Amino acid sequence: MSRVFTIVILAFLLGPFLAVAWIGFTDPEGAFTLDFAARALTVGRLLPALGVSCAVAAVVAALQLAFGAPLAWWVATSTGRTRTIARGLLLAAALVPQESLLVPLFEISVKVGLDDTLLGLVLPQAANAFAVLFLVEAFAAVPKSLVEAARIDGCSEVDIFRKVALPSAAPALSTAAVLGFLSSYAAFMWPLVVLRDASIRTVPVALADLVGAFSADRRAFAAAAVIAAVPSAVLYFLAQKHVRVGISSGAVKG
Amino acid sequence: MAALALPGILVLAAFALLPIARLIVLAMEEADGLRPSVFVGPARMLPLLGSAPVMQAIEHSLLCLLVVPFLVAVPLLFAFVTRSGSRGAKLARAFAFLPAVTSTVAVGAVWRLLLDDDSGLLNRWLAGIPTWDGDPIRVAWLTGEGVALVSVLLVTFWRGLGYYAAFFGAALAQASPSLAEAARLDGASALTTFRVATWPSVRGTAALVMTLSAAAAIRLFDEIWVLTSGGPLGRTTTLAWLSWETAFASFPPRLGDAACLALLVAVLSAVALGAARRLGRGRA
Repeated sequence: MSRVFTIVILAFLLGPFLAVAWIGFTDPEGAFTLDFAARALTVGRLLPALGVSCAVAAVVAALQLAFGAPLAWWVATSTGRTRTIARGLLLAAALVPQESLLVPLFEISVKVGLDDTLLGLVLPQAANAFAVLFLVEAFAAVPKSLVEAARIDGCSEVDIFRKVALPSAAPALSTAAVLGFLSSYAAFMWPLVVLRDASIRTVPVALADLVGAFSADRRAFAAAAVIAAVPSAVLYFLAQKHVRVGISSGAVKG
Repeated sequence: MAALALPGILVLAAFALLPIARLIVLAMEEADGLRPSVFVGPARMLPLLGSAPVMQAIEHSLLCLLVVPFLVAVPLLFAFVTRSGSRGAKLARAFAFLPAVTSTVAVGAVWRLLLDDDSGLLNRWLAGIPTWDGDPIRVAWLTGEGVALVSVLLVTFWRGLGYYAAFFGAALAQASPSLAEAARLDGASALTTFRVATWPSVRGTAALVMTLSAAAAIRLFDEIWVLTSGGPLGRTTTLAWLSWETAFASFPPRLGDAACLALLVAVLSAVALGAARRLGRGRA
Protein backbone atom coordinates (compact mmCIF):
# COMPACT_ATOMS: atom_id res chain seq x y z
CA MET A 1 0.00 0.00 0.00
CA SER A 2 2.53 2.55 1.14
CA ARG A 3 4.90 1.48 -1.62
CA VAL A 4 2.19 2.14 -4.21
CA PHE A 5 1.51 5.55 -2.67
CA THR A 6 5.21 6.44 -2.76
CA ILE A 7 5.49 5.42 -6.39
CA VAL A 8 2.38 7.38 -7.37
CA ILE A 9 3.68 10.52 -5.64
CA LEU A 10 7.14 10.15 -7.20
CA ALA A 11 5.59 9.66 -10.63
CA PHE A 12 3.54 12.81 -10.09
CA LEU A 13 6.62 14.77 -8.97
CA LEU A 14 9.17 13.51 -11.50
CA GLY A 15 6.91 12.69 -14.46
CA PRO A 16 6.57 16.34 -15.55
CA PHE A 17 10.39 16.73 -15.63
CA LEU A 18 10.78 13.59 -17.71
CA ALA A 19 7.95 14.51 -20.09
CA VAL A 20 9.40 17.97 -20.67
CA ALA A 21 12.92 16.56 -21.10
CA TRP A 22 11.43 14.20 -23.70
CA ILE A 23 9.88 17.14 -25.59
CA GLY A 24 13.08 19.18 -25.46
CA PHE A 25 15.66 16.54 -26.22
CA THR A 26 14.02 14.35 -28.87
CA ASP A 27 13.02 15.14 -32.45
CA PRO A 28 9.50 14.35 -33.77
CA GLU A 29 10.71 10.84 -34.65
CA GLY A 30 11.69 10.23 -31.05
CA ALA A 31 15.47 10.25 -31.55
CA PHE A 32 17.73 12.04 -29.07
CA THR A 33 18.86 15.47 -30.26
CA LEU A 34 20.62 18.52 -28.87
CA ASP A 35 19.35 20.83 -31.64
CA PHE A 36 16.60 22.38 -29.53
CA ALA A 37 18.88 22.81 -26.53
CA ALA A 38 21.41 24.53 -28.78
CA ARG A 39 18.69 26.81 -30.14
CA ALA A 40 17.52 27.72 -26.63
CA LEU A 41 21.08 28.49 -25.55
CA THR A 42 21.97 30.62 -28.57
CA VAL A 43 18.85 32.05 -30.21
CA GLY A 44 16.95 32.05 -26.92
CA ARG A 45 20.07 33.58 -25.31
CA LEU A 46 19.90 31.22 -22.35
CA LEU A 47 23.68 30.71 -22.32
CA PRO A 48 24.59 34.29 -21.33
CA ALA A 49 21.72 34.22 -18.82
CA LEU A 50 23.17 31.06 -17.25
CA GLY A 51 26.52 32.81 -16.88
CA VAL A 52 24.92 35.88 -15.29
CA SER A 53 22.68 33.84 -12.99
CA CYS A 54 25.40 31.53 -11.68
CA ALA A 55 27.86 34.39 -11.14
CA VAL A 56 25.24 36.59 -9.47
CA ALA A 57 24.03 33.75 -7.23
CA ALA A 58 27.61 32.95 -6.15
CA VAL A 59 28.31 36.60 -5.36
CA VAL A 60 25.00 36.95 -3.50
CA ALA A 61 25.78 33.85 -1.41
CA ALA A 62 29.27 35.18 -0.60
CA LEU A 63 27.97 38.66 0.25
CA GLN A 64 25.17 37.28 2.45
CA LEU A 65 27.90 35.64 4.56
CA ALA A 66 30.31 38.58 4.40
CA PHE A 67 27.62 41.01 5.53
CA GLY A 68 25.59 38.58 7.59
CA ALA A 69 28.13 36.61 9.65
CA PRO A 70 29.78 39.54 11.49
CA LEU A 71 26.38 41.15 12.02
CA ALA A 72 24.92 37.88 13.31
CA TRP A 73 27.84 37.34 15.72
CA TRP A 74 27.50 40.90 16.97
CA VAL A 75 23.76 40.41 17.58
CA ALA A 76 24.28 36.98 19.14
CA THR A 77 26.87 38.33 21.61
CA SER A 78 25.23 41.67 22.34
CA THR A 79 23.15 42.11 25.48
CA GLY A 80 20.33 44.19 26.88
CA ARG A 81 18.56 46.76 24.80
CA THR A 82 20.92 46.57 21.79
CA ARG A 83 20.09 42.91 21.43
CA THR A 84 16.33 43.43 21.72
CA ILE A 85 16.27 46.24 19.17
CA ALA A 86 18.60 44.47 16.72
CA ARG A 87 16.60 41.26 16.88
CA GLY A 88 13.32 43.14 16.49
CA LEU A 89 14.54 45.00 13.40
CA LEU A 90 15.93 41.81 11.85
CA LEU A 91 12.64 40.03 12.46
CA ALA A 92 10.66 42.90 10.93
CA ALA A 93 12.92 42.85 7.88
CA ALA A 94 12.65 39.07 7.60
CA LEU A 95 8.87 38.95 7.85
CA VAL A 96 8.21 41.41 5.02
CA PRO A 97 8.62 39.55 1.72
CA GLN A 98 10.93 41.26 -0.76
CA GLU A 99 8.22 40.94 -3.43
CA SER A 100 6.20 43.49 -1.46
CA LEU A 101 9.06 45.95 -1.55
CA LEU A 102 9.53 46.13 -5.31
CA VAL A 103 8.22 49.67 -5.74
CA PRO A 104 10.23 51.32 -2.95
CA LEU A 105 13.31 49.20 -3.75
CA PHE A 106 13.11 50.26 -7.36
CA GLU A 107 12.62 53.89 -6.35
CA ILE A 108 15.69 53.76 -4.11
CA SER A 109 17.75 52.01 -6.81
CA VAL A 110 16.87 54.67 -9.37
CA LYS A 111 17.71 57.43 -6.90
CA VAL A 112 21.23 56.09 -6.27
CA GLY A 113 21.75 55.05 -9.90
CA LEU A 114 21.72 51.30 -9.27
CA ASP A 115 18.88 50.43 -11.65
CA ASP A 116 19.92 48.37 -14.65
CA THR A 117 23.25 47.44 -13.03
CA LEU A 118 24.59 44.16 -11.68
CA LEU A 119 25.28 45.86 -8.34
CA GLY A 120 21.63 46.90 -8.17
CA LEU A 121 20.65 43.31 -8.85
CA VAL A 122 22.99 41.90 -6.21
CA LEU A 123 22.82 44.27 -3.20
CA PRO A 124 19.11 43.93 -2.30
CA GLN A 125 19.48 40.14 -2.49
CA ALA A 126 22.60 40.28 -0.32
CA ALA A 127 20.62 42.10 2.37
CA ASN A 128 18.81 39.02 3.64
CA ALA A 129 17.55 39.33 7.21
CA PHE A 130 16.36 35.72 7.23
CA ALA A 131 19.89 34.48 6.60
CA VAL A 132 21.19 36.75 9.39
CA LEU A 133 18.61 35.42 11.86
CA PHE A 134 19.54 31.86 10.91
CA LEU A 135 23.20 32.65 11.63
CA VAL A 136 22.32 34.40 14.90
CA GLU A 137 20.77 31.15 16.08
CA ALA A 138 23.80 29.15 14.92
CA PHE A 139 26.18 31.53 16.75
CA ALA A 140 24.02 31.45 19.87
CA ALA A 141 24.84 27.73 20.06
CA VAL A 142 28.61 28.37 20.21
CA PRO A 143 29.67 27.30 23.74
CA LYS A 144 30.26 30.31 26.00
CA SER A 145 33.16 28.47 27.67
CA LEU A 146 35.01 28.35 24.35
CA VAL A 147 34.64 32.11 23.91
CA GLU A 148 35.70 32.75 27.52
CA ALA A 149 38.76 30.51 27.16
CA ALA A 150 39.82 32.39 24.01
CA ARG A 151 39.33 35.72 25.81
CA ILE A 152 41.47 34.59 28.76
CA ASP A 153 44.13 33.49 26.26
CA GLY A 154 44.24 37.11 25.16
CA CYS A 155 42.36 36.84 21.86
CA SER A 156 40.90 40.07 20.57
CA GLU A 157 37.15 40.23 19.85
CA VAL A 158 37.84 40.01 16.11
CA ASP A 159 40.09 36.96 16.66
CA ILE A 160 37.38 35.29 18.74
CA PHE A 161 34.97 35.80 15.84
CA ARG A 162 37.48 34.49 13.29
CA LYS A 163 39.05 31.62 15.23
CA VAL A 164 36.21 30.47 17.52
CA ALA A 165 32.83 31.58 16.21
CA LEU A 166 33.29 30.97 12.48
CA PRO A 167 34.76 27.44 12.79
CA SER A 168 32.11 26.38 15.34
CA ALA A 169 29.31 27.58 13.09
CA ALA A 170 30.87 26.21 9.88
CA PRO A 171 27.98 23.82 9.03
CA ALA A 172 25.43 26.62 9.42
CA LEU A 173 27.59 28.92 7.29
CA SER A 174 27.73 26.40 4.44
CA THR A 175 23.98 25.84 4.73
CA ALA A 176 23.40 29.59 4.50
CA ALA A 177 25.71 29.81 1.47
CA VAL A 178 23.96 27.00 -0.39
CA LEU A 179 20.51 28.40 0.36
CA GLY A 180 21.66 31.90 -0.59
CA PHE A 181 22.81 30.60 -3.96
CA LEU A 182 19.59 28.68 -4.58
CA SER A 183 17.28 31.53 -3.64
CA SER A 184 19.21 34.03 -5.75
CA TYR A 185 19.34 31.65 -8.71
CA ALA A 186 15.55 31.26 -8.53
CA ALA A 187 14.74 34.94 -7.91
CA PHE A 188 12.40 36.38 -10.50
CA MET A 189 10.57 39.56 -9.51
CA TRP A 190 13.51 41.73 -8.50
CA PRO A 191 15.63 40.87 -11.58
CA LEU A 192 12.54 41.43 -13.72
CA VAL A 193 12.04 44.91 -12.30
CA VAL A 194 15.60 46.17 -11.86
CA LEU A 195 17.03 44.96 -15.19
CA ARG A 196 15.15 46.85 -17.86
CA ASP A 197 17.88 46.68 -20.48
CA ALA A 198 17.72 43.24 -22.08
CA SER A 199 21.52 42.97 -22.25
CA ILE A 200 21.77 41.53 -18.72
CA ARG A 201 19.22 38.86 -17.96
CA THR A 202 19.05 36.12 -15.35
CA VAL A 203 17.80 32.62 -16.20
CA PRO A 204 14.25 33.07 -14.82
CA VAL A 205 13.88 36.36 -16.72
CA ALA A 206 15.20 34.79 -19.94
CA LEU A 207 12.89 31.81 -19.50
CA ALA A 208 9.90 34.07 -18.84
CA ASP A 209 10.77 35.99 -22.03
CA LEU A 210 10.74 32.71 -23.96
CA VAL A 211 7.13 32.05 -22.90
CA GLY A 212 6.08 34.55 -25.56
CA ALA A 213 7.73 32.51 -28.30
CA PHE A 214 6.59 29.27 -26.73
CA SER A 215 3.90 28.20 -29.18
CA ALA A 216 6.24 28.86 -32.11
CA ASP A 217 9.08 26.74 -30.75
CA ARG A 218 7.74 24.36 -28.14
CA ARG A 219 10.74 22.03 -28.17
CA ALA A 220 13.32 24.78 -27.64
CA PHE A 221 11.20 26.12 -24.77
CA ALA A 222 11.10 22.64 -23.22
CA ALA A 223 14.87 22.31 -23.55
CA ALA A 224 15.26 25.75 -21.94
CA ALA A 225 13.06 24.75 -18.99
CA VAL A 226 15.17 21.64 -18.38
CA ILE A 227 18.49 23.46 -18.74
CA ALA A 228 17.30 26.17 -16.34
CA ALA A 229 16.60 23.51 -13.71
CA VAL A 230 20.02 21.82 -14.00
CA PRO A 231 22.33 24.11 -11.95
CA SER A 232 20.02 24.17 -8.91
CA ALA A 233 19.41 20.42 -9.17
CA VAL A 234 23.16 19.69 -9.30
CA LEU A 235 23.87 21.92 -6.30
CA TYR A 236 20.97 20.32 -4.43
CA PHE A 237 22.23 16.78 -4.98
CA LEU A 238 25.78 17.80 -3.98
CA ALA A 239 24.61 19.51 -0.81
CA GLN A 240 21.38 17.63 -0.06
CA LYS A 241 21.78 17.54 3.71
CA HIS A 242 22.45 21.28 3.93
CA VAL A 243 19.45 22.14 1.80
CA ARG A 244 16.84 19.97 3.47
CA VAL A 245 18.06 20.42 7.04
CA GLY A 246 18.55 24.14 6.51
CA ILE A 247 15.14 24.66 5.05
CA SER A 248 13.26 22.70 7.64
CA SER A 249 15.11 24.47 10.45
CA GLY A 250 13.81 27.79 9.24
CA ALA A 251 16.65 29.26 7.19
CA VAL A 252 14.24 30.46 4.54
CA LYS A 253 10.68 31.61 4.47
CA GLY A 254 7.70 29.79 3.00
CA MET B 1 33.04 43.76 16.56
CA ALA B 2 30.50 46.53 16.06
CA ALA B 3 32.73 47.95 13.32
CA LEU B 4 32.75 44.64 11.44
CA ALA B 5 28.97 44.42 11.76
CA LEU B 6 28.55 47.88 10.25
CA PRO B 7 28.49 46.91 6.53
CA GLY B 8 25.76 44.37 7.25
CA ILE B 9 23.79 46.93 9.23
CA LEU B 10 24.11 49.43 6.37
CA VAL B 11 22.93 47.12 3.55
CA LEU B 12 20.02 45.87 5.63
CA ALA B 13 19.06 49.42 6.55
CA ALA B 14 19.27 50.57 2.92
CA PHE B 15 17.69 47.59 1.17
CA ALA B 16 15.35 46.09 3.76
CA LEU B 17 14.34 48.58 6.47
CA LEU B 18 14.27 51.77 4.42
CA PRO B 19 12.06 50.17 1.72
CA ILE B 20 9.63 48.99 4.41
CA ALA B 21 9.35 52.51 5.81
CA ARG B 22 9.03 53.95 2.31
CA LEU B 23 6.35 51.38 1.40
CA ILE B 24 4.23 52.47 4.35
CA VAL B 25 4.52 56.14 3.40
CA LEU B 26 4.01 55.48 -0.32
CA ALA B 27 0.80 53.57 0.42
CA MET B 28 -0.61 56.84 1.75
CA GLU B 29 0.52 58.89 -1.26
CA GLU B 30 -0.91 59.74 -4.64
CA ALA B 31 2.07 58.88 -6.87
CA ASP B 32 2.55 58.03 -10.54
CA GLY B 33 6.33 58.27 -10.74
CA LEU B 34 6.07 61.17 -13.19
CA ARG B 35 4.72 64.09 -11.20
CA PRO B 36 5.81 64.80 -7.61
CA SER B 37 3.80 62.60 -5.28
CA VAL B 38 1.20 64.08 -2.94
CA PHE B 39 0.73 62.83 0.59
CA VAL B 40 -2.94 62.05 1.25
CA GLY B 41 -2.94 59.92 4.39
CA PRO B 42 -4.27 56.52 5.40
CA ALA B 43 -7.78 57.53 4.28
CA ARG B 44 -6.82 56.92 0.64
CA MET B 45 -6.48 53.20 1.26
CA LEU B 46 -10.14 52.52 2.06
CA PRO B 47 -11.79 53.35 -1.29
CA LEU B 48 -9.01 51.44 -3.08
CA LEU B 49 -9.46 48.33 -0.94
CA GLY B 50 -13.20 48.48 -1.52
CA SER B 51 -12.92 48.80 -5.32
CA ALA B 52 -14.13 45.93 -7.48
CA PRO B 53 -10.76 44.79 -8.96
CA VAL B 54 -9.16 44.75 -5.51
CA MET B 55 -12.07 42.89 -3.93
CA GLN B 56 -11.81 40.33 -6.73
CA ALA B 57 -8.04 39.97 -6.19
CA ILE B 58 -8.58 39.53 -2.44
CA GLU B 59 -11.13 36.82 -3.22
CA HIS B 60 -8.63 35.05 -5.49
CA SER B 61 -5.84 35.30 -2.93
CA LEU B 62 -8.16 33.77 -0.34
CA LEU B 63 -9.09 31.02 -2.80
CA CYS B 64 -5.35 30.28 -3.10
CA LEU B 65 -5.48 29.25 0.55
CA LEU B 66 -7.48 26.20 -0.54
CA VAL B 67 -4.14 24.57 -1.41
CA VAL B 68 -3.08 24.68 2.26
CA PRO B 69 -4.92 21.56 3.55
CA PHE B 70 -3.50 19.55 0.64
CA LEU B 71 -0.01 20.83 1.42
CA VAL B 72 -0.40 19.58 4.99
CA ALA B 73 -2.08 16.23 4.39
CA VAL B 74 -0.22 14.82 1.38
CA PRO B 75 3.32 15.79 2.49
CA LEU B 76 2.58 14.36 5.93
CA LEU B 77 1.40 11.10 4.42
CA PHE B 78 4.39 10.97 2.09
CA ALA B 79 6.83 11.68 4.93
CA PHE B 80 5.11 9.01 7.01
CA VAL B 81 5.38 6.24 4.41
CA THR B 82 8.99 7.17 3.53
CA ARG B 83 10.16 7.63 7.14
CA SER B 84 12.31 4.50 7.26
CA GLY B 85 16.07 4.60 6.87
CA SER B 86 16.07 2.23 3.90
CA ARG B 87 17.84 3.22 0.70
CA GLY B 88 14.62 3.35 -1.28
CA ALA B 89 12.97 5.67 1.24
CA LYS B 90 16.02 7.95 1.29
CA LEU B 91 16.04 8.15 -2.51
CA ALA B 92 12.31 8.86 -2.60
CA ARG B 93 12.73 11.72 -0.10
CA ALA B 94 15.68 13.13 -2.05
CA PHE B 95 13.91 13.11 -5.41
CA ALA B 96 10.61 14.38 -3.99
CA PHE B 97 12.46 17.54 -2.99
CA LEU B 98 13.64 18.30 -6.52
CA PRO B 99 10.65 20.49 -7.55
CA ALA B 100 11.23 22.60 -4.42
CA VAL B 101 14.78 23.60 -5.42
CA THR B 102 13.72 24.30 -8.99
CA SER B 103 13.03 27.98 -9.61
CA THR B 104 9.37 28.93 -9.71
CA VAL B 105 9.71 30.17 -13.29
CA ALA B 106 11.22 26.86 -14.46
CA VAL B 107 8.44 25.05 -12.59
CA GLY B 108 5.90 27.26 -14.35
CA ALA B 109 7.57 26.56 -17.70
CA VAL B 110 7.47 22.79 -17.14
CA TRP B 111 3.76 22.93 -16.33
CA ARG B 112 3.01 25.35 -19.16
CA LEU B 113 4.27 22.63 -21.51
CA LEU B 114 1.92 20.15 -19.86
CA LEU B 115 -1.16 22.31 -19.37
CA ASP B 116 -1.19 24.66 -22.37
CA ASP B 117 -4.63 24.48 -23.94
CA ASP B 118 -3.47 24.02 -27.52
CA SER B 119 -0.02 22.47 -27.50
CA GLY B 120 0.15 21.11 -23.95
CA LEU B 121 0.98 17.46 -23.44
CA LEU B 122 -2.10 16.71 -21.34
CA ASN B 123 -4.57 17.88 -23.95
CA ARG B 124 -2.63 16.01 -26.64
CA TRP B 125 -2.97 12.82 -24.64
CA LEU B 126 -6.62 13.48 -23.84
CA ALA B 127 -7.30 14.04 -27.53
CA GLY B 128 -6.03 10.52 -28.15
CA ILE B 129 -8.72 8.98 -25.94
CA PRO B 130 -11.65 7.76 -28.04
CA THR B 131 -14.99 9.21 -26.99
CA TRP B 132 -18.46 7.96 -27.81
CA ASP B 133 -19.46 11.09 -29.74
CA GLY B 134 -16.10 11.34 -31.51
CA ASP B 135 -15.29 14.80 -30.13
CA PRO B 136 -11.79 14.87 -28.63
CA ILE B 137 -11.58 15.63 -24.92
CA ARG B 138 -10.10 19.07 -24.37
CA VAL B 139 -9.76 20.83 -21.04
CA ALA B 140 -9.10 24.58 -20.96
CA TRP B 141 -6.53 24.15 -18.15
CA LEU B 142 -5.18 27.70 -18.38
CA THR B 143 -7.96 29.65 -20.10
CA GLY B 144 -11.03 28.10 -18.47
CA GLU B 145 -12.53 30.65 -16.11
CA GLY B 146 -13.15 28.10 -13.40
CA VAL B 147 -10.16 25.86 -14.08
CA ALA B 148 -7.25 28.31 -14.42
CA LEU B 149 -6.81 29.05 -10.73
CA VAL B 150 -7.09 25.36 -9.89
CA SER B 151 -4.32 24.64 -12.42
CA VAL B 152 -2.09 27.30 -10.85
CA LEU B 153 -2.73 25.83 -7.41
CA LEU B 154 -1.95 22.34 -8.72
CA VAL B 155 1.46 23.67 -9.71
CA THR B 156 2.09 25.22 -6.28
CA PHE B 157 1.01 21.93 -4.74
CA TRP B 158 3.51 20.09 -6.96
CA ARG B 159 6.33 22.39 -5.91
CA GLY B 160 5.41 22.33 -2.21
CA LEU B 161 4.80 18.60 -1.73
CA GLY B 162 8.37 17.41 -1.23
CA TYR B 163 9.33 20.68 0.42
CA TYR B 164 6.84 20.39 3.27
CA ALA B 165 7.39 16.64 3.44
CA ALA B 166 10.96 17.50 4.55
CA PHE B 167 9.52 19.38 7.55
CA PHE B 168 7.42 16.37 8.52
CA GLY B 169 10.35 14.05 7.85
CA ALA B 170 12.49 16.00 10.33
CA ALA B 171 9.73 15.82 12.97
CA LEU B 172 9.15 12.10 12.42
CA ALA B 173 12.87 11.37 12.67
CA GLN B 174 12.81 12.81 16.18
CA ALA B 175 9.67 10.97 17.25
CA SER B 176 10.28 7.91 19.38
CA PRO B 177 9.56 4.77 17.37
CA SER B 178 8.78 2.67 20.49
CA LEU B 179 5.23 3.99 20.87
CA ALA B 180 4.32 3.11 17.28
CA GLU B 181 5.97 -0.27 17.75
CA ALA B 182 3.96 -0.93 20.91
CA ALA B 183 0.72 0.09 19.22
CA ARG B 184 1.50 -2.22 16.32
CA LEU B 185 2.26 -5.14 18.63
CA ASP B 186 -1.04 -4.52 20.42
CA GLY B 187 -2.72 -5.13 17.10
CA ALA B 188 -3.85 -1.52 16.57
CA SER B 189 -4.88 -0.60 13.03
CA ALA B 190 -2.62 1.58 10.92
CA LEU B 191 -5.01 4.47 11.44
CA THR B 192 -5.02 4.08 15.22
CA THR B 193 -1.25 3.74 15.26
CA PHE B 194 -0.96 6.96 13.30
CA ARG B 195 -3.43 8.80 15.53
CA VAL B 196 -1.96 7.65 18.84
CA ALA B 197 1.74 7.36 18.08
CA THR B 198 2.53 9.65 15.15
CA TRP B 199 0.11 12.56 15.11
CA PRO B 200 1.18 13.98 18.53
CA SER B 201 4.78 14.24 17.31
CA VAL B 202 3.91 16.08 14.08
CA ARG B 203 1.02 18.25 15.28
CA GLY B 204 3.28 21.26 15.81
CA THR B 205 4.87 20.77 12.41
CA ALA B 206 1.44 20.54 10.79
CA ALA B 207 0.57 23.95 12.21
CA LEU B 208 3.93 25.30 11.02
CA VAL B 209 3.44 23.95 7.51
CA MET B 210 -0.07 25.36 7.47
CA THR B 211 1.13 28.89 8.21
CA LEU B 212 4.17 28.69 5.90
CA SER B 213 2.15 27.43 2.95
CA ALA B 214 -0.53 30.04 3.64
CA ALA B 215 2.09 32.80 3.56
CA ALA B 216 3.47 31.40 0.29
CA ALA B 217 -0.03 31.21 -1.22
CA ILE B 218 -0.68 34.87 -0.38
CA ARG B 219 2.55 35.89 -2.18
CA LEU B 220 1.90 33.70 -5.25
CA PHE B 221 3.20 35.47 -8.37
CA ASP B 222 5.90 33.78 -10.50
CA GLU B 223 3.82 30.76 -11.53
CA ILE B 224 0.95 33.05 -12.52
CA TRP B 225 3.34 35.00 -14.76
CA VAL B 226 4.33 31.92 -16.73
CA LEU B 227 0.98 30.11 -16.72
CA THR B 228 -1.85 32.60 -17.02
CA SER B 229 -0.64 36.23 -16.69
CA GLY B 230 -3.53 36.89 -14.33
CA GLY B 231 -6.15 35.73 -16.84
CA PRO B 232 -8.57 34.58 -18.06
CA LEU B 233 -10.68 37.70 -17.36
CA GLY B 234 -8.69 38.32 -14.20
CA ARG B 235 -9.58 34.94 -12.73
CA THR B 236 -5.99 34.32 -11.59
CA THR B 237 -5.31 37.94 -10.63
CA THR B 238 -4.21 37.68 -7.01
CA LEU B 239 -3.26 40.56 -4.72
CA ALA B 240 0.43 40.12 -5.49
CA TRP B 241 -0.26 40.05 -9.23
CA LEU B 242 -2.54 43.10 -9.11
CA SER B 243 0.04 45.03 -7.11
CA TRP B 244 2.73 44.28 -9.67
CA GLU B 245 0.43 45.09 -12.58
CA THR B 246 -0.62 48.41 -11.02
CA ALA B 247 3.00 49.49 -10.61
CA PHE B 248 4.82 48.05 -13.59
CA ALA B 249 2.30 47.18 -16.30
CA SER B 250 -0.07 50.13 -16.35
CA PHE B 251 0.46 53.65 -17.62
CA PRO B 252 0.74 55.94 -15.84
CA PRO B 253 1.91 53.64 -13.04
CA ARG B 254 -0.25 54.01 -9.94
CA LEU B 255 2.59 53.62 -7.45
CA GLY B 256 0.59 54.63 -4.39
CA ASP B 257 -2.11 52.07 -5.15
CA ALA B 258 0.51 49.40 -5.86
CA ALA B 259 2.26 50.16 -2.56
CA CYS B 260 -1.05 49.91 -0.73
CA LEU B 261 -1.72 46.46 -2.20
CA ALA B 262 1.88 45.36 -1.56
CA LEU B 263 1.47 46.49 2.03
CA LEU B 264 -1.64 44.34 2.35
CA VAL B 265 0.28 41.31 0.96
CA ALA B 266 3.16 42.07 3.33
CA VAL B 267 0.90 42.34 6.39
CA LEU B 268 -1.00 39.13 5.60
CA SER B 269 2.17 37.18 4.87
CA ALA B 270 3.99 38.65 7.89
CA VAL B 271 1.15 37.62 10.19
CA ALA B 272 1.36 34.06 8.85
CA LEU B 273 5.18 33.98 8.96
CA GLY B 274 5.22 35.47 12.46
CA ALA B 275 2.87 32.72 13.61
CA ALA B 276 5.07 30.18 11.81
CA ARG B 277 8.14 31.43 13.68
CA ARG B 278 6.40 30.99 17.02
CA LEU B 279 5.26 27.51 16.04
CA GLY B 280 8.76 26.67 14.79
CA ARG B 281 10.14 27.65 18.20
CA GLY B 282 7.70 25.44 20.03
CA ARG B 283 8.39 22.48 17.81
CA ALA B 284 10.67 19.62 18.91
